[in-house]
Order: sequence, then structure tokens, then C-alpha cells
Amino acid sequence: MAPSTTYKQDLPPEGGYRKLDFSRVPAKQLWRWWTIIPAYVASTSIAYYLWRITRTEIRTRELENNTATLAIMPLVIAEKDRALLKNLRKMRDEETELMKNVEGWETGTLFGEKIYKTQSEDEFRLPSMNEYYAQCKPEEYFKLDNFYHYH
Amino acid sequence: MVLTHDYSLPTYEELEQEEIPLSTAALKAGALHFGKSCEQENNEFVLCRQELDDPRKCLKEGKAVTNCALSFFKKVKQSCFDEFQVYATCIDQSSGSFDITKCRNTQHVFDKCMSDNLGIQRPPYDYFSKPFVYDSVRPKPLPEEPLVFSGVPKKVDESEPKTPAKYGGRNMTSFTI
Repeated sequence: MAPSTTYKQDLPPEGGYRKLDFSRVPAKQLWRWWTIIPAYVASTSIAYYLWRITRTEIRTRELENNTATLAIMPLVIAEKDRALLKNLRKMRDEETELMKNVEGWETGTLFGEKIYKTQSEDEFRLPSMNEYYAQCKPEEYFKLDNFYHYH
Repeated sequence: MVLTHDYSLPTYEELEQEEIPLSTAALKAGALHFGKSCEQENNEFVLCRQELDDPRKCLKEGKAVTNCALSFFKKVKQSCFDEFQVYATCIDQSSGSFDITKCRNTQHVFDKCMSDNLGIQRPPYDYFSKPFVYDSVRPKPLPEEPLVFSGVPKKVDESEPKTPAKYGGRNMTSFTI
């Protein structure tokens, strides 16, 4: 029984395959000290020149906006003061109502112990934020985060 | 809360006051004219607030400021409502920070209306940023007296004759054990 076809084995070329190139190909280096330093100097100089010719205008603009803000501050502070005093009275009444069944509790103190010892009784003191929000839900306190400029 | 019942707070009736129902843009639009026309009340209130540092003691001055502002904005509404409205809308929509310098055209129209109808000139752009001296009728508050504590040790009288040193010397360097 003779083979019907002849096969030719697939072999490497004469002398073998060519060598693979493993040598390093470094990127072209643009930034050297003789390019970095002039670029830095040039960009800084240009930026400084632009700042010099516009800084008067920028500061004038800020001054004018500050002036407008300052002009309405008395109005805003007056309204804020009234709201603050209303809230303080409301919260003191709230605490009295809440703690009326607790024996020995005095409003504004911890069972008669005051928070400040040397301050006179009627001196104005702004309560801290945690005290100011003591009768509120915690969500109300965390809403302050939305008004970032009040911190 | 740290407020006791001995702490005096004004009642709700004393705090009753009609507030200005305006937004920031509208307040900024009328800011400089308002500050100029209510200068007396504003200075009085701010000085009181700064000197006494107590909102309970400056309620009368604060109400004067708000009443002056109410009458001012009512006058503006009667005379220059459209100009004011356009100017406030421009301030509201021209920037994210209520920048009044971006609305010169509408500002000129508003200023002209204010000076023609109400006779209020726009003050210079840095008018309220400059320091100035304001003389109030209210007397200046006295400075606080220093606290006096009990149980403070008596001071040593230097003129007294000294007894012989008990432990070798009176200086720390010559202290011997």
C-alpha cells in the first residue's frame, strides 16, 4: 500500500529566523534644563505682565462689589439679630416645656450647674452651633453644609 | 441651651417688625443708593452693634434701619420700578456672584432715573469701603473692669529684712541639697 500524495514538512528558513529586537527605544526628550528654565522664565514673565496690566481693574471691581455688600450689611444684620433673638426665646421655652417633668432640672443649666462661672448673668453670649440646634432634628444641622460661606 | 430664665430676652412683640421682602439681586441693585439715603441710621446702628456687641441693646436702631430701608424701597417702587427691575434682573443673571460691574448700561438708566425723580445721586464706587469717623449722640461705653479673684496669695514685701537662707541660698543656681 503506497502513499497517494507526498508531503513537504514546513521548516524554518535556511540559517534560522532573524533575531528579535529587544533593544530599548527611548522617547525623544524635549524637556532638558536648557528648555525647562527658559520656558519657565518666559511663561512667568508673560503672566506677570498680564497681571500687572489688569490688576488695577480686578481690584477696582472687587472693591466696588465689596462696597455694595457693605452698604446693605446694616439691613441684613438688623434682620438677623431679630431672628436670632426670636429663636433664642423659642428654644428656651421649648427646653422648659420638654424638661418640666425632670426633677431638679433648671433651664439653661445641668441640674443647677452653670456653664460659665465668671460671666455676669445678663451678659450676651452667642450659643455655639450645637447648642443653637439642640432642639432641632440633626438633618436641620447638616443643612448648614449647603451654606458653606456661613462656617 | 445655656440660657437661663434670669437672662433677659426681648418678647415677641418687641421683635415685631416688617422685613424687606427682597432678594439678594434686588438688594444689591439698590445697595449704594440705599446706603447713601439711610446713612445716618446705618451708621448709628453699626456703631451701636460694634460698641455694645449685644443685639438686645440695638433693637431700636435696627428697626430704624429697616424702616428707613422700607420707605426707601417704596419710593423706588413708585418712581423707578421698571428701571430697578431691569437692573436687578441683569445683576441676577449676568454672573454667579451678583457682580454689579457687569451691568453698566442698565445701571446708568437706573442712576439717571434716581437722580431725576428722587434726587439721590449714586455715591462713588468705594464710598462704603473707606474708613471714616462718625460722631454719635449715644455716650461711649466704659471699658470693662478687670475681674477680681479671691484666694490670691499675698505679694512678698521686698523691704522686709530677710531671714538667713534655710537651704543654702536664695538663687536657683546656688541651691544645694
